[in-house]
Amino acid sequence: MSLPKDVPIRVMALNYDGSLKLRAFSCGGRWYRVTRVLEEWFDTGEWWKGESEKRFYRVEAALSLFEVYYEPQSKTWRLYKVYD
Amino acid sequence: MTEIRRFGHLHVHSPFSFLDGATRIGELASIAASMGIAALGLTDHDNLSGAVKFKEALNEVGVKPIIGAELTMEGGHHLVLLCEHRKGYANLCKIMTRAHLENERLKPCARFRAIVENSEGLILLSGCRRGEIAEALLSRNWKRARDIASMYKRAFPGRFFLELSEWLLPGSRTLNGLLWQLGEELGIPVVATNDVHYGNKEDFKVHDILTCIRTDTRLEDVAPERPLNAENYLKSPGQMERLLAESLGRAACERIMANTWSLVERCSEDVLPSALSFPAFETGSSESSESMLRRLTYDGAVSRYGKISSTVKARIDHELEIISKLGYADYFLTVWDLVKFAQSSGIRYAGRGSAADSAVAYCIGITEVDSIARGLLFERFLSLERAQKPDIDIDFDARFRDKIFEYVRRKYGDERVGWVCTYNTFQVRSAVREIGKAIGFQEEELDNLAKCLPHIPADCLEEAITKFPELRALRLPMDKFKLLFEMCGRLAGFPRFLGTHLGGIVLSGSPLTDITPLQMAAKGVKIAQFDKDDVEALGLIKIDLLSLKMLSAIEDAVRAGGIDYDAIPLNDETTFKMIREGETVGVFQLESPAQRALQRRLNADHFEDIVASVALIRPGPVKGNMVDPFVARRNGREPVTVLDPRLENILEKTYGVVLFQEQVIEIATVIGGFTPGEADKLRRVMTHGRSREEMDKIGEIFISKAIRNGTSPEVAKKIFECIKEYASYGFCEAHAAAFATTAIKSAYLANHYPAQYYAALLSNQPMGYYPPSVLVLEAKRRGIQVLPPCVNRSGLSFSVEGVQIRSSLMVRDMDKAIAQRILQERSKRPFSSFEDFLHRVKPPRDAVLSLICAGTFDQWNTNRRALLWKACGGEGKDIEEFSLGEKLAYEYRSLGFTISGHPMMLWREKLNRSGVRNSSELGYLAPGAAVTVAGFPVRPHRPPTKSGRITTFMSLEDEFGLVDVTIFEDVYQKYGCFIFGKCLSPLWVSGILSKRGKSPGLIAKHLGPLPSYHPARVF
Repeated sequence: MSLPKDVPIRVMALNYDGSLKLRAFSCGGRWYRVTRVLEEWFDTGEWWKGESEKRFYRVEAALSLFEVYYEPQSKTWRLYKVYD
Repeated sequence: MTEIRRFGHLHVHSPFSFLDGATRIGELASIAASMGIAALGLTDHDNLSGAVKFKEALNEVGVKPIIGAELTMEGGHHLVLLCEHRKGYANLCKIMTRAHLENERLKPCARFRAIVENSEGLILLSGCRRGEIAEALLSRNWKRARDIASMYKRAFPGRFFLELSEWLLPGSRTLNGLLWQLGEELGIPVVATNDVHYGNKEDFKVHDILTCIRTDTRLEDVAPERPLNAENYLKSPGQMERLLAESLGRAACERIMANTWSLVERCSEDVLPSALSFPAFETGSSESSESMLRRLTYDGAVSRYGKISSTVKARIDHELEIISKLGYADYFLTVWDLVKFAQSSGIRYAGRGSAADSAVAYCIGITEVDSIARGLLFERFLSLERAQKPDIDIDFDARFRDKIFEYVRRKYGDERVGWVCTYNTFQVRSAVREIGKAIGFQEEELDNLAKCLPHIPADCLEEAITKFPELRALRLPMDKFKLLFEMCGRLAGFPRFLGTHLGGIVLSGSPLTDITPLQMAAKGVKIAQFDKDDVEALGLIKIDLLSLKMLSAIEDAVRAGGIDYDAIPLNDETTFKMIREGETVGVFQLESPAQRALQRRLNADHFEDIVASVALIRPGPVKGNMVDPFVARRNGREPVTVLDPRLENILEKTYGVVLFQEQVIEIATVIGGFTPGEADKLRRVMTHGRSREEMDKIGEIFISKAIRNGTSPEVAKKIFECIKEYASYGFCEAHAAAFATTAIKSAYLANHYPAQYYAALLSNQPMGYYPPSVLVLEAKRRGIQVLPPCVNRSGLSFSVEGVQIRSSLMVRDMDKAIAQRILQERSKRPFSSFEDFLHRVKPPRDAVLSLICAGTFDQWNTNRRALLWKACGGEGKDIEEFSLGEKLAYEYRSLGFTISGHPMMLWREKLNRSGVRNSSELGYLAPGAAVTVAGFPVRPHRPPTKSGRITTFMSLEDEFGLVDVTIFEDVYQKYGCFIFGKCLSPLWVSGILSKRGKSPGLIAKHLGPLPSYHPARVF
C-alpha cells in the first residue's frame, strides 16, 4: 500500500472516560474504518528539546495494519507506518 | 479527605534503587496518601537501604508500608520478593547478602536455589518486563514461560503471583493478554503493579537523566534501558483499574484488583526488627554482666579517685542503674574489652563524644574525662526518658584501627559484626559532573564550573551562580545551563552509592544477616545496608572506632622523644604562653586562623580555657557572635551576669554564657523542673531546626513549667530565649573536654619537643588543618631545619637528626615496597654512589626521578638535572644545573614542600622594591597602617555568618610565616575569582593592618595575582 508516511491524517475518535477510542481515519483521500486496536503506547520523544509526548496506535483497518499517532503540541494526527 | 481505595502499589522503587528511582521517599508517601492508595511496597534493586525511612514516612501519612526488593537474578533477570512477615524479612536479608557477597562487588546476583532455601515468609512476584516470564512471552516462547511459571509456583506454593502492568509500551497489550492466559492456565493469581520509578509523570525527566548516568549514555544517545515513555509513575487506583479494563476487559480487571488487595492485606507492615540485638558479654564465669560492670567500675573508681566518696558512689550507682534498666551492661563491657585490648597492644586511644559524660566510662578506662569532677550530666549520654541507644566514640591511632576491628570480628564472629554504611549523596560538584555529562556537556565545561563551586547544596546552584564572584567570572550562558541547574536541584541529596562509615561498626546478638543485608565496600569490608540512624532503628547499637591521625602523630613523637605521654602536665606554663601567643600551627584543634586569633585574645591559662576554646570556634558560636562577649567576660572587660541566681553555678565556668549542651539540660532541670532525661529530650527537640511554631510550643511548655517552679514569667521567657538561641549550636562539654586534653598535650609536644612533633606530623600526612609546606615553615620558625631525604639516612617516616628533621623516602611516586627494598639493601652496606643505588635497588624510573628532584642524592651530586639525565640513560655531562625556581618547583612536586628555599623568594626582590611587606614585619607596624603583603593563599574559607554576608578568611604563606587575612563581602565580590578560582597563584593583598590582642592580621581592600614567574606555575 503506497500511502505517504508521517503526514497529517484526519481521524474520527471518541474521547471516553479520559481515553481516546479510535474509530476511523482518512488518508490519501480514503477513509479507513478501525476494526481493532491492537496496541496503544506513548512515546515521550526528545523531551529535553521541548518535544511533547506522542500517543501511538497500532490498528487493523481494511485488512491491513497501520500505526498512527497523535501529537498534542500541534494537535495533529499522523500516519506513522503501514504494514503491507 | 481522600477516600482510601482498596489498592496498593506492590512494586515501587525509591531513590535507594540508586539511579533508578527519581522521587524522594517522603514525596512518594505524600502522593500515595493524596491519591487514597492504601499501601506501597518498596522494591528497590538488590538492597533494603530505604526500608526504615520508607516505613517511617508511610506511617506518618497513614499508608501501609510493605517491604521487599527487586532482585537481579542470574542472566540479569528481575524477580520481586515481598516480606509477608518478620521471618520473610530475615530471609530476604540472607538472600541479598548471598547475592552480594558471592559475586563481584556491585554486581549482585541472586540464585533461585538460594531464594528457595530461604523462602519462608516471602511472596514471589514475577517482576517487570525484565522478569524471566515476561521476557519469554515477549520473545513468543510460551513453553519456556509456562515452565518457569510452573517452577516458581512449585517453589512458592500459594505465594507466587504474576505481575501485570499496563505501561503503554509497544507490545504491552499483547504481553498482558499472554500473562493473563498463563495465569488462567496454571492457576496462578495475577496482580496489578506499575513498576513505579517516580511519583509523578513529570519526574520522568529526572528518571531519564538518572538512567543516562547509570548507563553512561547521553540524552541524545539511544539506549535500551531508557524507557520510551513516562508511564512508570504512581498511578491512582482509578487509573490502574481503567487501564487494566481497557487492556483485558472488566471481568479480568476486577479479579486482578481483588488479588492485588488480598496480597496487600496478607503482607504485614511490621516486618522490620526493632528489638535490641547485642551480643551477651562472656564474663568467663557465672557472674552476670551487670555484676561484672559494677565490679569493674568500682575497681576503676578506686584507682581513679583513691577513696570513693558518697558523691562518687551516688553518681556511679545512678549510672549503673540506668545502664542496667536499659540493658546496656553488655555494651559497656564490650567497649571496655576492646579498649583493654588496645591498651595491652600498645595502641593509643582516646574516648570522646557524649560518652565522656559517663563516670562509669571514666572508671573503666573508656574515657579520660572525670565527669563527676566537671559536674557533667550523665543524661546527656543516656537517659531512661530518651531511651536512645548509647553511642560510644573512641579515637584510635589511625594505623591500628583496623587491628581493633579485626579483634572484634574474631571475638564475636564474622556473622555478628559489620560496618555501618553511609548513604553517599549527590553533592554539588558530583551532581554537576554527572548530570552535565548525561545532558551532553563537554568535560572541560563541567570541569571549569565544578572546580570553582563552593560547598553549597546542589539545589542552591542557580542562586550561587550570581552570588559568588568566582562563578560570575565564568560567564555561563544561562539558557544552556538551565536544564543542568534544574536537574541538580531535583537530585540534590539523592543517594548515589553506599559508602563505609568512618568508624561505625555494629555487633549483633543474632546473626547480622537476620537484621540487615551485607555487602562488600570498596575498602574490602562488609557493610550493613543501613546507616547509623537506621541501624539504631533496627535494634542494633553502633560503636565508633574512629581513626585519628593526631594520635598516630602523638605516638610517633612520644616514642621519638622518649616521653611519658600520661605524665604530660595539663598546666605547663610555657605551653600556655605559646598558646596565648597563637603559636599553635600543628596543635590539635587549636591551629586554624580563627583558633589562633582567639588564643591571642583569650589569655588562656588553664585547662577550662581550652575546653571553652574547642567549643567556641564552631559555626554556631561564630555565627551567633558569641566569641567576643565570651572573651570580654573571660578577661573581665564585661561583667558576668546571669538572669537568675540559680544559673550562677551552672554557667560559672563559661562566665554566664550558655556554651555547652549540658548547660541547657541543667537549666531546664533547675529552672523548668524537668527531669534530666526530659531536659535532654527538650534539648534534642530544640536542636533539630524546628519551625517557629514548634519552637513557640516548646517555649510555652518550658515557660509554664518554669513559672510553676518559682520563676517569674518575665525571667522564664528571657531564659527560654537564651537557651533557644544557643540550643542549636551548643557543644557537648564532655567532648570538648576530651579534645582539650589532647589539644594541650599536643601543644606541650610542639613546645618542648618541636623536632619530634613536627617530624611526626609530617610523617602522618594528610592530617590537620595545614598542608606540609606550612608545617615545614612552622618547624623552621621554631629553629628546626627540614633536610632533604637521604638515601643512606632516611627511613619510611620523617626522623629527627639532632635538632633537624630528615625527610622520609616516601616521595611522590614512591611505593612502600620500593622504599623497603632501599632499607633492606642499605642494611647490607651503605650506598656508595647514585649508580650503586640504581644497580642494587633497580627502582622504577618515576620513583628515581622524584627522589632526585627531592635532593635525595645531593651528597654525591647536587646537579639534579644531570642526575635526571643519568637516570634516563644519558651521560649527564655538561648539563647546566636547575635554576632556583626550577629546583623549588621540582622539590614541591616531589615532597609537597620546598627545602632549598621558599618560592616567595623568587618574587622578594621585586616585592621589596615595590614596598610590599613580608609576614615577619607586620608585628612591628601600628594597627591601622596601610600595607601590602604577598604570599600563597592557604585554606581560604567562608564560614557562615549571622548576617548571611560572606566573610572570607585565609592565610598568606611567605618565606617567613603566615599572615591571616580577612576579606569582607565588598572586597570579596570584586576579587573572589582570584581566591577561589580554578587556577590559584600567589597573591598580593593590600589592606589595613589590624591587631586583635597581640595578633596582627590584614583586612583586605584590594588583591590580585602576582605577575607570573614561570617555574612557580607548578605550585
